[in-house]
Amino acid sequence: MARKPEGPPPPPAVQRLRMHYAKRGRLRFSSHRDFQRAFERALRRAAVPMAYSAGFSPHPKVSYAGAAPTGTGSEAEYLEIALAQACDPEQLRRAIDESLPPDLDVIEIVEVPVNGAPSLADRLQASVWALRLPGVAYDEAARAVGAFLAAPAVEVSRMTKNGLRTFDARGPVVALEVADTPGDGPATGEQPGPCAILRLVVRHVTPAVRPDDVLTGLRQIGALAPPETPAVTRLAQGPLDESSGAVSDPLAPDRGDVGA
Amino acid sequence: MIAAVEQLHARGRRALLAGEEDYDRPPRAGSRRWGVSVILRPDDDAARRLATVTGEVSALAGPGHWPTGRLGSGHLTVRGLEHRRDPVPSQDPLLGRYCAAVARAAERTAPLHFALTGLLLVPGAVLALAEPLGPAPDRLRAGLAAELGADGQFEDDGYRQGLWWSTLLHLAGPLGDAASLVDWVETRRSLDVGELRARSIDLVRYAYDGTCTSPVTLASTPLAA
Repeated sequence: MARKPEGPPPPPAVQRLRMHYAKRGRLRFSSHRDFQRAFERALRRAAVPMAYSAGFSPHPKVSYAGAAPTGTGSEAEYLEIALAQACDPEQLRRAIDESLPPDLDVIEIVEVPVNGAPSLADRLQASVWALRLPGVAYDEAARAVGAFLAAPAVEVSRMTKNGLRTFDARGPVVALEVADTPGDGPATGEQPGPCAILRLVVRHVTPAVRPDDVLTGLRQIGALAPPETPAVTRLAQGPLDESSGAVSDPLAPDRGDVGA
Repeated sequence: MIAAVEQLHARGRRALLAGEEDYDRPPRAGSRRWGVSVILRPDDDAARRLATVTGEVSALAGPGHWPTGRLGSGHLTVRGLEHRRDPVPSQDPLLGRYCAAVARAAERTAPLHFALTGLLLVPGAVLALAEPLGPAPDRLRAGLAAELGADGQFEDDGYRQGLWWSTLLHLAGPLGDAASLVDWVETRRSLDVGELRARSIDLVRYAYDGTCTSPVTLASTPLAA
């Protein structure tokens, strides 16, 4: 007969919340594990009434989805939590944000039905990335991008936890372009200094094609060798519109879902 | 400064005459254009004068282009702050930091006056050049950069080359008669559009309504006229 933990089972989840947060500034160098530790401490500090899993080692019910790699910033990280006691989402957002280190910013929390809400992970179909390449001129970047896009496949290798994997970095790329001028300035297509910025839209596949895989591909096929370490930021992740290549807000369907 | 303006205009002229102009397109998430920015709103008189010239240049350029200098939309950008995102959640702590930085920079800002001294072309737009009357606008720009610190990294400090402008028309598709537009602008290189006094420093996002992308105020700091 299976052993059962002593005592009553943990209280059931009465509220499910989806959280949009950002990893900014120097916190881009934190790993997903670092974030998990900081977040779970913030939950305790903010006295969030978390729902816990049953069993001998109860864990707070937190589901992380599609975390950005270590070393990249992100404006679009998502997770889901379950609570044992209902809370006001905005008050909770403020409390968790104040309990996290600066640059881990909680942007929004939305409520979803406790049962039957479509999976958040299923909505994260693609990401939009900005790759800032100091020391690389616009034309040099544009040539490499042209070569990359013209190739039917670009094989790259990366060491994974299962060993060295070789895969196609071209196939999942929905769009890759040298970015426009910033703000509302004249669309000259040029930057004042040599610092090309690439905008990359990539489909989420297994194994994941990351921005550094695309940079490897650009080096192999377009001889693009940035003299400085590129700064990479995820700008959005969510459902992909295959016809336009647009990536939309994954929480949009959830706003106003509860009680509607 | 004059050399930078002339270079910019020469590049715009060349592009338009060669049919190699740049086009704006409706904003999309992740684009470097049309993200949250800090702008100056013109006083009512200046806004009307800019709108009048915008009407003229729009009529000449033909349909489909964006009359950015129209009433309620015309502005001078101090600094772009981030990539385009949709939506811009009002409770994002980063917006709070932007607002605080703008307020701190505005505290030390003397009234901001400009002379609108003429029109120029760039490869994707027709601009009205705004020459600061005094050092206050450039001090505001530098002060805002300092106050933003790491939150202001999106735009390179040198991007605006010390220039101020109010965009009248963003090109959004092929021009019917590019040569006429070039001639029209060139006869107005020294057009006196009068003075402009900034009435507020605004933190804005941009909304596209099918005809134009216009600033929508997220927070506003009034300025002495």
